[in-house]
Amino acid sequence: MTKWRNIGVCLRALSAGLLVLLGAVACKPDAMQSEMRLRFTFTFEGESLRMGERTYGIASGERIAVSDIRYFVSDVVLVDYAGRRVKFEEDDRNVHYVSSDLEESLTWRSSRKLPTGVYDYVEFVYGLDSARNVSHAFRNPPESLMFWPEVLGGGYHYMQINGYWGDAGETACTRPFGLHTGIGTEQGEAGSVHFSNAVKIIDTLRFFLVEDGDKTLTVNMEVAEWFRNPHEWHFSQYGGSVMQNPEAQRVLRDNAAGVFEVRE
Amino acid sequence: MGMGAAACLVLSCLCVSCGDPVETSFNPAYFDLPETAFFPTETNIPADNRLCAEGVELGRYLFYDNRIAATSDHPEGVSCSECHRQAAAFDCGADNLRFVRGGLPLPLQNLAYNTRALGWSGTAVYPATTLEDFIRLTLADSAEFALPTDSIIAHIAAIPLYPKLYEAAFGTQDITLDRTAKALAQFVRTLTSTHSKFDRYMRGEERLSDEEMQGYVLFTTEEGADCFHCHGGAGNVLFSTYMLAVNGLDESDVPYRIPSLRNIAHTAPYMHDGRFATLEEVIDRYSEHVYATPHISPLMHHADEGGVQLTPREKQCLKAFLLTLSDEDFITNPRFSNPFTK
Repeated sequence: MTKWRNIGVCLRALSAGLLVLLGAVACKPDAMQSEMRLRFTFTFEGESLRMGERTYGIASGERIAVSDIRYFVSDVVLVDYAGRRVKFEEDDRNVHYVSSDLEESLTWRSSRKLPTGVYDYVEFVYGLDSARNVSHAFRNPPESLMFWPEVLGGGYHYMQINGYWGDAGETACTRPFGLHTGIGTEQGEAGSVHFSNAVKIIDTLRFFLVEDGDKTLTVNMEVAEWFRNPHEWHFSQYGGSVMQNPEAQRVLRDNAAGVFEVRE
Repeated sequence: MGMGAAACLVLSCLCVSCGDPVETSFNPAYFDLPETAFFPTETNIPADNRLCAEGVELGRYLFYDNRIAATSDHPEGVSCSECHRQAAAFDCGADNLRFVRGGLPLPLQNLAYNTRALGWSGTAVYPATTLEDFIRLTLADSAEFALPTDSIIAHIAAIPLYPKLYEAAFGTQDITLDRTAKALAQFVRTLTSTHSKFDRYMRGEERLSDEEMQGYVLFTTEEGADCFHCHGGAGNVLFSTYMLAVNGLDESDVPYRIPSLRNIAHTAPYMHDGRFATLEEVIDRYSEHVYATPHISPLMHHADEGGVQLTPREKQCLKAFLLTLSDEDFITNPRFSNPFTK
């Protein structure tokens, strides 16, 4: 009996210890967290892009006037010094539509608080990756208006830059253009073949999220880069519409890598 | 008298004796627009004007009642339906042209899903941010209704039908401009066109013919007819972005609201000023006769070539596709028809 009594005492002590431990865990304050938002800007050669106001010379010597820019950013991930990956938003919300015409779209605030710490780089997808780029995923404007025709693979435009272009030396840009990117289409032996042009962007930037902070990072699109690196773009070659031009889609995909910069 | 009735009488007397107002029942039958496949899930219905069966019914009577703006000079009166006829998809109709400041009416269809702006010129003419505001301004516009709004309200109040309809819709017989606009907005928001051949194709209920399908491909490709950026398609079944755009019709650089192409077979003549009587003329213009004005929409990628340069066969296919946007159910639906002729 004594033996069983001792076991009972031990079990009670163990239970009490577990309760204390559970209590301690339960009372532990939440991990320190910070709010965060992304701001979206546009530049041309480092200067704020003046849409609808002035013309710019691109690498080919041709000139452009930009009317508006719309694009999707998705799957934003912050990576800390230990390689820990923190999603900016939950998966189903980790996509954002940016439009130069919609002031409210130029800021994206995370709906949740993010862990504090030292972060070394930011990853995001310019456009929508294949899993996310599904027709009718967006039922409401303005996102739904970015739909990409089914005959070209469906889903959504990754980006639209709309404006006018002119030859080198022309003072006015009068020819409309739409640099519209999305799924590429090529004609193969068995019919149309589609390929993704979404690009994962990784930009090294050391920044801190501090407790109860409200961090803003800026995602800037340097428009001049679309036209020069690594491929020089010629409107005289590609014309004003490129959705059905797989070569042009690949050129813009390659050039996307140098277009975006994340900064504090 | 049963015990229950006696109890009610006593309770009623108590209430009256306490000076409390006698409560009347006001329980409107609220409802939401049914969710329709591929259509937007967001609407422009404001929280203070939810759809209810009674409000929609009142709005329908008001919409068709030309007594509300009859004068001795115009004893035949005016109603919304004078310029918005169901047989013309709530446009005016080719045999009933009605110009206001040089512009034809826009069809009233699927306006509940238009979260952008209303009217050919948007806020430039009517600084309205809601359908209710737009209707208020329309009623007050002497170019549309010949009477001032207080006279219109007085006319409505003098028609025995209405006090009870207002009470059912709003819980009061007090007839105001605000409630009138709200009721009309409720009715107009129920005017949804969702049963065209293209809708049935999208839902897998019907096939498009080869000609219609070729037209659809042309409609949604930049190297085809390049219509979809402004006029939608599978991803935007409203068939308009409702944006303002300069469309290269002539040398003018004035932007106009991009109209929906739904029911386009029923909404001739075309363009804001009705300059084209047929779809063929519209297609010819966008194919070969676009003016590349300095501010033409940059989405018109082939403007500097004079248009998209369709072949006769392509034009035929494009027209065949456009005709799949006709919704016979919409233009014959008894729920949208004149209640005075039932």
